[in-house]
Amino acid sequence: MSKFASFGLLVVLFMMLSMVVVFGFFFFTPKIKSYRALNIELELERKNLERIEQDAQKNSAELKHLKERAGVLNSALKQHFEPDTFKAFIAKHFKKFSVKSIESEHLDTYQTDTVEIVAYINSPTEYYRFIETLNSFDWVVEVGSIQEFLSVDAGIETHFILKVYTYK
Amino acid sequence: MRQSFIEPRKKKVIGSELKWLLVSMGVLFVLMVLASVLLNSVIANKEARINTILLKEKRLKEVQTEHLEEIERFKVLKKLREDISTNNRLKKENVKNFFDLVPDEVVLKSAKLRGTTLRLTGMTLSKRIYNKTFQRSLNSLFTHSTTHFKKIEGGYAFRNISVMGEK
Repeated sequence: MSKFASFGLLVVLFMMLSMVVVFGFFFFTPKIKSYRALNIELELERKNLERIEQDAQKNSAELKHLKERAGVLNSALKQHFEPDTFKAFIAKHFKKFSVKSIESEHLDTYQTDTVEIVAYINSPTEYYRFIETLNSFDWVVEVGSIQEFLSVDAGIETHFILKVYTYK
Repeated sequence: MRQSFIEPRKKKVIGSELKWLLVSMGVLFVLMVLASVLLNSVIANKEARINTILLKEKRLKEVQTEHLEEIERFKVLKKLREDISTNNRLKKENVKNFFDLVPDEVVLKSAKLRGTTLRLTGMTLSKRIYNKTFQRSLNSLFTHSTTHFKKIEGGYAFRNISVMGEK
């Protein structure tokens, strides 16, 4: 091998080495760094997604449970207050009754219809039973603060107020 | 005339060693290019996967928000129902407990419960029995309880006002 060839070989070797170093330093290192960062990010996002999916499943199950329990209530609130339907419900529990007045009031989310009722009962037990039935009734009905009982010839005249809740 | 010990041979611009090195360099270059292409594609793939996950997360979060709002609404609804049911039951129990307190010696004509105020009218055979039994019960249930009696035939008519409030 001539001196010229040896020198050429050295130059080429140096160039190759430089190429590897330059390429590695300016291209491979940042790319590998970015690859590693992306790998970490991917892992984090995967865990994050897993957590969100678990939360979503939990919330979905809770919503399903609540929907099952409050579904009837929700549909009851969606109905418009129908005085005749309500009177039919009251008629099932009292032998004689009369509705004195119905007043509507609009609240933030709900509309309330206040119904003033005069009913006749034989004993207070009928009234207790009526309130228990009211609690299991599809509609949301609140017993007002006025409850009056008056002794009359036919038994007991009771005067009470009921507040029916529906969505606005 | 011979002046050299070896046979003259054709001189090459690039020697075999140099050729080998250049080929190696070329191969190295190709390998580097291939590696960079591969790395770029792997990085692009990772980015695409991250973007897919982020998109999925975004969708899930939107659904979550809707679900949470609905859950909150249902909880409010459930609480409203429970509060109303509890209040109704409480009112019923108040009336029931009150009627259970009335002794046999007292005959009620009317009982009017308006908020925290109870107004009673009725009849009793003896003021002493009334005060000893019924009035005591009323005093234990209400903050203030006053009764007015009026003598009637066969006993006393009474009018009572009882108020439940802070002492």
